[in-house]
Amino acid sequence: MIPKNDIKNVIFIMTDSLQRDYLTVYGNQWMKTPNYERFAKQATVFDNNFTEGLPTVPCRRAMMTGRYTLPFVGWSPLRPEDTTVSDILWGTGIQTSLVYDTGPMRLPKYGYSRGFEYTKFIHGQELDNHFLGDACHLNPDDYLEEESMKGIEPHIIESMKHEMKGILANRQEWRSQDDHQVAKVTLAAANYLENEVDPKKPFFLWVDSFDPHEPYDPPSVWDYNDDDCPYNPGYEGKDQFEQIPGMAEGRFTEPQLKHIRSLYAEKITLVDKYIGKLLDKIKNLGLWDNTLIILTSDHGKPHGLYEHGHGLMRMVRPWPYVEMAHTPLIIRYPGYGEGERVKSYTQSCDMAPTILDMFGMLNVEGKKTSGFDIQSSCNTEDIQGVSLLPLIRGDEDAKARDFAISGYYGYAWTIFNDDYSYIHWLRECESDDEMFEILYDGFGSADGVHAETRQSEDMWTCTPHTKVEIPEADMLFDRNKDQYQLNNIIKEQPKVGEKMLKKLKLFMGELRTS
Amino acid sequence: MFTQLTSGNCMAAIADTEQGVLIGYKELCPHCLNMEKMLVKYSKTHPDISLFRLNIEESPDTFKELGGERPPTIFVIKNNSVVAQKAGLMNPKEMKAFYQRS
Repeated sequence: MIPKNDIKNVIFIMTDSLQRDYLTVYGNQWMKTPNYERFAKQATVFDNNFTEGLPTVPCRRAMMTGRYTLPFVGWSPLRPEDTTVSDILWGTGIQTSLVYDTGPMRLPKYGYSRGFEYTKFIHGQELDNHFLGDACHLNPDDYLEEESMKGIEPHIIESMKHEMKGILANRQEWRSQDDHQVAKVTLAAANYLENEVDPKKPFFLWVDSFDPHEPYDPPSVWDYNDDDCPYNPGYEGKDQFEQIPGMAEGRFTEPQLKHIRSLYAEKITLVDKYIGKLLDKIKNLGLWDNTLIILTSDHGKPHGLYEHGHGLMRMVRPWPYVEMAHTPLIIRYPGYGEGERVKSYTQSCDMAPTILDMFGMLNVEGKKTSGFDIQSSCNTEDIQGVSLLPLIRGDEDAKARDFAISGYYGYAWTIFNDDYSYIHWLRECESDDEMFEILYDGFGSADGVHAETRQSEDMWTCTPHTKVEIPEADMLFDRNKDQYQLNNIIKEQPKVGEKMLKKLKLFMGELRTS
Repeated sequence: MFTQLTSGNCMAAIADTEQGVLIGYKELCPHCLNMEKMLVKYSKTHPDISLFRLNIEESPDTFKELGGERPPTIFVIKNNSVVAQKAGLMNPKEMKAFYQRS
């Protein structure tokens, strides 16, 4: 048993868009993810982890601040009044570092690298993929099937082809697996641990790999060794590594969808390989038994019909379905919980308090620095998540919660418990542009007109003598019989629906008032 | 924590209060429950502000007289009269700002 006070460091590893049910650790029977499996045997696996605010940016905001985002804010910059883990750790003697290639964290004005004293950004991913050059002999049309563009607005196709040109320009220089983004990020993180960090001081390292996010371009797409995709050998169509987003029906055939999912799976296996290399480095450097290691992701991915994405290709509708919301979380807390599984419901906002708890900084008052009043707000009083360390230790009565929420700001709220999941639609969404107008919450071209202003005050008030009524569009699913949310039973079980909606609204109101 | 008011004593209580907050609430209203919890938290850092509650289903005319329409509604009392009101939800920081600017 390693006592808690021998654990000096925290390494947090985020792999974007890693769908939970593609991992063998969560029951997948056909994938190869040996390194996640190896890690899980020496760590604690969380079975009911849900991202509360989808997708990329709201999830990271919750993880960094320890606060729920869903009723408050969508895809938008950190605000001065938000307090992050790195804000709190700044100036405490704990080294903070961020190694990443996730474009949305680096976006101008967004501020998600705030407070980290060491940052290393790897160029080349989405939103940054024209950095490395343009001259290219590769053509986007060689990676797009004609019918995938059917019915899609021309400006979206143009934008996607522009993005693909940047991706292809980068890829023309690639010669081996070590050139892939996840390889570069994990190797940079290993380099930080080996050569940059002061071993005499504790450190907090956040590694953020955008892989396995699109483009789904694992080694078989670039044919270094005439490789075939191991999950769909012999496929003769185009490798649609960067899919034109929108509803899938009528644009992708089932064989095409299968191949897209297979490329995604192959990319996850690549991610697994390089995460494994980073874990090996952590061991070799003697950090294995004095470091808390967290592996997680922000959301899954929609890849077509039914359980693969409820009809969607890419995240351009506010889909709060289980394949997006239910996320992997595996934590190694040396000395505790090895090989255990936790059933309690956990959420993205539990990351900040867990990290701070490991450093003994869960209850921090603001810094008293004369002349710099904003420092006084660098405290933990606004945190809404809970530390997961007591759960891993198996402390008596340790429990996070018995339900979880998820959804898209301004569009859809959902609640999951052991028996049911319930989706409450706040408004309809019929196009990519409509979704982003609300989700971006007034930033960018919306010129400061916040989406929240469109939300009625009615949402947070009652009328005398009224009772809960279920809106026509809402959905209820039986989690024990229908884990992929394919059979809406709200008409058969209206009382259950009423109860779930009431619980959801009560909790959202509680968040709104805390 | 809260002083329960009725149609019979509400206006007199307001006229007798220098600094206070009144919530118009409804039984079984989840938002009202959350706002009451928020006010309890708020009052810990503002002990000089008196807290009142009025059941709007038992005292609908008084609620209407105060200008309330939907529960929960917060009424700010300063110098013996209601100076501001707001329906819906607030967190303690928003409550503090709302009280200060009222």
